[in-house]
Formats: sequence, C-alpha cells, structure tokens
Amino acid sequence: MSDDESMERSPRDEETEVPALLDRLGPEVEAGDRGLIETLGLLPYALDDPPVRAEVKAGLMAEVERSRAAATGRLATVERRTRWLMPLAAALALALLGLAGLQFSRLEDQQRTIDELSAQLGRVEADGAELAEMRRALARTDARLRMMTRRGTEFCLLKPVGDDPRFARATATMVIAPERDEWFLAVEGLEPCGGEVCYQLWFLTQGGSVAAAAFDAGEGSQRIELGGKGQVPSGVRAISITHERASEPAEAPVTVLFADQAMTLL
Amino acid sequence: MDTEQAKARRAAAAEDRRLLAEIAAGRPDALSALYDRYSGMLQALAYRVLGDLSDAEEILQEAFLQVWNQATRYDPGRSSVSTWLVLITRSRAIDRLRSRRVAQRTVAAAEKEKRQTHTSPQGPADVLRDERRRRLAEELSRLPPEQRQVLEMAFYRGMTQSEIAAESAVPLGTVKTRTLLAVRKLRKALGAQYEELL
Repeated sequence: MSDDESMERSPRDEETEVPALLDRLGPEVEAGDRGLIETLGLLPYALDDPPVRAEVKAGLMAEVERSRAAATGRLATVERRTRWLMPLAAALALALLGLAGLQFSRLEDQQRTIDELSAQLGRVEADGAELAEMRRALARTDARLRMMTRRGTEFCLLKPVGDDPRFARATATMVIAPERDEWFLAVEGLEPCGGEVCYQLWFLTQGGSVAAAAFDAGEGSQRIELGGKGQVPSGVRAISITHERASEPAEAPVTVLFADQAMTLL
Repeated sequence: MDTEQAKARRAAAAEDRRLLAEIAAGRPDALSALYDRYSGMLQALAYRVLGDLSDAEEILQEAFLQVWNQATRYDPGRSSVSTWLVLITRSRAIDRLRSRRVAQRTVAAAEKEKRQTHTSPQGPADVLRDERRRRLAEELSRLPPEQRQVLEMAFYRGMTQSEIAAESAVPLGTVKTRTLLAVRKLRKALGAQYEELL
C-alpha cells in the first residue's frame, strides 16, 4: 500500500459508495454522485482510437433505415386498421341489428306457436270434458239398461190427465228397481215451464203424497230422464207428475201425468 | 487558451444534447453526426474491453442503435451525453465479454495495445478529443500502478471489487481503498473538464 493510501482520509459514505458505484456502473446510473460518474465517463478518452471502418457506419445507418421503414409500416398498418374500423363497426352494428330483428321475428313465431298449442290444449281439454260426460251418460244408460232387464223390475206408464192441450201429448215411464232402492223416470212431450213454475214427481201412498223430484222440461219437448237413488216409499199406490209453482207447491197443483198400474216384464 | 477550450467543450456538450433531442425526434442525420463525434472513442472503448476489433465494431453498432431507439430515455440530470454513450457502450461490451468468456484474450490484447503506437488522423474536430486524451493519459500515468490497475479492472473488465480482490490476491478493503483514491485523484485533476460537460 502506498503512502497516500494510508494518509488520506475520506468521508465514510464515499468509502463505501465509490466502489459500490463502480460495481454497478451502467447507462442508468443514479445521479447521486454526478461528478464521479462524469469522471469515469472520461476514462475512455485516454484510449487511442484508430479510425472506424466506413462499413460500420453504413451498416448502422442501414439498420436505422430498416427500423424507420418498419415503424412506418406499423403506422400504415395502424392507419389501415383505423380506416376500416368505422365501416367494420357499422357493419357489425347492422349485422347485430339484423340478428336482433331475426330473433324478434323468431320470438313472434314462437309466441304464435305457443298460442296455437294453448288453443289446441284447450280444445283437447274441452273434448276431454265432453268425452267424460259421454262416458258418464253411457254409464247411466248401461246401469238403467241393466236395471230394466232385471227380474222384478216394475214399469209404470204415466198418461196425461185432463184436457189441457199443453200436456195432451206428454208421456212418461217410471222404472223401479226390484229392491226399490233405485228408480228412474223418462219423460217426453212436456213443454218447458218457464218462470217460477216446475214439474213435480210424486209417489202417492196410503199415508199421503211423497215428493220425489222437481224438474223442468227440455227445449222442444225433448225426452228427459231423471234418476234417483234412495228408498221408494212403501205402499205406493200411484205416481203422478204435477205442474205447480215451485215457491207454493201445495197451492192448486195441476196433475199432468198419472199412473196407478205397474207391471213387470221379467 | 484554457478559457477558449472550456468554451469549446461547453459548446460541444450543448451540441451533443441538441443532436440527441433530434435523434429522439427521429432524425437519422442527427444520429450520423453524433456517430461521427464519438464512434472512434467508443470503438476504442469496446475494443479495450473485448480485445477484438470485429466484436468492437458490432458493439459500436448496437450501442448507436440503442441510442436511436432509446434517445427519449436520456436524462440530462444524470449524466452528460458523452458519458451516457460511454456507459451504454461499456455495458454492452462487458455483457459481450461475460457471455463469450473472452477474458483471457482481452488481457492479451490489452498487453498488446500497450505496446502499439496508434496514429489517428488529426483534424480540427479532433482537437478537443486529443486534448482530453492527453490530459487523461497524463493523469492516469500519475496514479500509482496498483490504483490504476484496480480502476481499469473495474471499468474495462466489469469486475466487482470482490473479484478484483480475488484475482489480485489482496484484501477487499485494500481494493476498495485503492479504487476510492484513484477516483478521487482523477476527479480532482479532471474536475474542470467534467464540469464543462454538465
């Protein structure tokens, strides 16, 4: 170690910073010690510098030109892309608009289909109700047919009473099951009553009259059938159908049909 | 005379900054002018680090391409233009040195360079550079050999203080002290020159 090394004194930070700065010396050095950086930057001036070959500069400038051309090309590319950007955006917007219209049209079609299917479903349900009613009617008819073909079933033919022309062509048939726990009545030729008037079916017994059912005739004097489950009163001597006010059944009823004879077929 | 040279150096530094600003604006002619001003010294630096002229020429091209591409990154608050160029070239050369592991060849070339006598063309534009070279050589020659060696190992070979200590077989503290003293002496001797660069 030379004398000046041992004699010189330096601030503590300089002792540590100068070697550390040399260890990391680069183009991005910190400006903490500008004087030190510039001193080191002067060092290469001590070197002899032979002429640089012209080809080196030519190569550098050619590379710079290529770099500029590439940058210009990139710029042109960006400009081209920018130029097409608005028409492309407009085309996309139109396409989206068309797509939205198509979707809306399809939505309407789907809604129409749903409405049609709903209507069909309603018709099917209505048909189903009608079919159920037909099945119920068929079951009633079947039950009455079986009742009519049983041994001991009684039939009573009710005939018009009096001279009232409204009831002159009316007829009715009462069928009573052998066990007398079920009956049904088929009536034809009665006109609809209208208003508060109705027809009343009576079982006439020794002890008095027992009301069995109140009913009205159908449009056009069509055949109607009444059915009843329940015990037919014992000691029935006759059956009658009267025409009377529903609110005042006991006041002056008019007997329309009457039967006091029963017969069995089987 | 000194005052005129100082004025000339300040004008040169201002011209460097103007050229770099034009390079940042994309002017190739400015790059060409800056190249003419510094290519000789920077090639010498790269050659000093790498010991191979072909490598040095490549580094010179790469350094100026970096200047072309990154001129906007130059910060005048951190260094002068010439020092920025030196540091770019040095960093690239040392990176190349480390990647190619040509350290041995570099040492041999450095020894050879010491024995060579270069004859650079002399012209009006070289006056300042020659004056600077003369002053540097003079001040470096005044340094004790062990201090100059430490400085050159750190600057031209990119060696850390620990690596220098290991290769020189001296304690790390001694290496740091020699480095500090060398830099301090140069700084004192060349203070006027680098201040004119700012």
